[in-house]
Amino acid sequence: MKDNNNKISTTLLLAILINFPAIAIESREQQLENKSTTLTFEAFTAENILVKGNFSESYATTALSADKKYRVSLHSNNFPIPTQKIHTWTARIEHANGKPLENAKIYIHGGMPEHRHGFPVTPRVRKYLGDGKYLIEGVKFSMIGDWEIRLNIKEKNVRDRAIFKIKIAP
Amino acid sequence: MKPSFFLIPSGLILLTSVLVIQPFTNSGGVVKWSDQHLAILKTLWIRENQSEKDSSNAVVDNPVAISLGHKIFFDTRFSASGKISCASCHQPEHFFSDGLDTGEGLKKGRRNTPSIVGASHNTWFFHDGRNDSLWSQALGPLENPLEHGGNRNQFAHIIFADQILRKQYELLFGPLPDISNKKRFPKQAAPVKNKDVNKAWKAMAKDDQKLITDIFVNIGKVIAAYETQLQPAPSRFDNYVKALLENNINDIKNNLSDSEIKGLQIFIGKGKCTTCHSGAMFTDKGFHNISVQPRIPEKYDWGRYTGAQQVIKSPFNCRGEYNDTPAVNGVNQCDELKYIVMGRHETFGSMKTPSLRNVSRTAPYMHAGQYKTLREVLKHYNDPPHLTNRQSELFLDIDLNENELNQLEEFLRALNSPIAADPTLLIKPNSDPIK
Repeated sequence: MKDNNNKISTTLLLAILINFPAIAIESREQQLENKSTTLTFEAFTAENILVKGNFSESYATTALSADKKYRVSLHSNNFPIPTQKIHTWTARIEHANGKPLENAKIYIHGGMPEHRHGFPVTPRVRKYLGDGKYLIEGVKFSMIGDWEIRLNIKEKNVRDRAIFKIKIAP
Repeated sequence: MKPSFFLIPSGLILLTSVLVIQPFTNSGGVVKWSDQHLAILKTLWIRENQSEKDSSNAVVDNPVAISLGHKIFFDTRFSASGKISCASCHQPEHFFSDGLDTGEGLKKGRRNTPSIVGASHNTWFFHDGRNDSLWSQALGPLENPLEHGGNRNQFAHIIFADQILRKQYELLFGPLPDISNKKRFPKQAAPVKNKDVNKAWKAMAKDDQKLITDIFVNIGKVIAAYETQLQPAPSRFDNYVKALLENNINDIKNNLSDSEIKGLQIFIGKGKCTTCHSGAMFTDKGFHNISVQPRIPEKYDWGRYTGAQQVIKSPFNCRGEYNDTPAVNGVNQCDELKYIVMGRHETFGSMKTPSLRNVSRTAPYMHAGQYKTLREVLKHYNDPPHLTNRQSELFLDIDLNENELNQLEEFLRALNSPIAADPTLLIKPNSDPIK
């Protein structure tokens, strides 16, 4: 009996030891899983890089919001995208089912993460244009480089955010 | 999934590194720039007539205003002591700065005197941007007790009594009101801290205050008209870029030395200088905290944080009645004020990015003249001090060696150029030219 108990204990101990790396790996995977929303989102938005250039036509890009509640299209109303000048953008936001998001509250943030500063202005959304479109006023890029426009979307009790990475090239 | 998340940025970093390192190639003694870097050089290149006219000042390019502004700029009567003029600190021989750590008018100020050459390109004025036009900036020192220490009634009386100034003023703005009644219009009166001068101002009728303030504002506008004439001419750097764009081999070779070109490569590359010193004036016209230590440690300078609050309240700002820009639907289009950054953490201790044109001629540097030489400034960026509990943007790992610092400094000196203005505007009116 004692031997049996010892065998069981040894087996359990061995099982724990053998599985420990797996438990550790799972724990690491779990950690990554917890972060995956951000990582996936960053990977997704990294594809949505606007480059200022001599565009002759409208230039827009689309991203899913962080919690995938909305699909957001961002559209510059000026071409080429100006530097050192205040200008407007339009965001069109729709639900996952394709229905336009009506009359939500949109807060604009952003700046140059690499340089730890925000916009040199305070952009804001004051006008809902209909069909899920919101006018973003007061955008200004003070220099060339990598910028972010972040839209915090608030609809009744639902909150989500979308990040766009914008490269302002010379 | 996991590796791909890290491979994507790694791949981007590798690609970016290749792009950054690759573009400078040397072909037969001539550096070949990539299209991307040539495009950056083009943004730094100064071209003729690229200055936008200040619509808030209706007389900004009027020759009579330029002439009157020139006279007032050098006229020491426009001060409490009769000894201080704008040119006392903005000295032509110092490229319209003063060579001092902090300005010295009637008393020692707390900030460095910036050059006014090319200042008209700015969006905000003073180191903290507490004014939003060149003309409203010009009004500040006139009544500042540390600078001219004068007052608007005094200035109005000077113009009223001086036939030459008065004639030019009336050509521009119409007949001066009769301000000869000293009871209605005291010799010394203004909304300033000086108790007697302030008391005299408060005793004036509102309409009379308005008549005087109109004259005061017009003085600012003619000074700004004069200052707008002071623009930097193209430098050797600009000639180099022009030659590159025109593929003029001789001029490419003759304008910048190899060392200066290497300095330019550092400027737009490894040194990351164009992060803030961008555009034809080598400034993004914005505000940044770059960890410059306060001149007096116990007196932290809040810079843009307070400057933003002041410009919003200024009666002379874009929204005020003195803005000459035609209103649209009865509203001044003052987007910079409308979308101003107020109170955000990055405004703490932030100062305006200065132009680098003729930078080697405008020492000392930083908002309170903390650094005497360009080399000290470069070392600051190369190995920045770290301030605790204050916001600083300066964390870039630049790490230039001594040779690279030399090259960068040499390039900065290649931004020197003469002032592109009528030579008579660079000296006191009716005086001998500078020899």
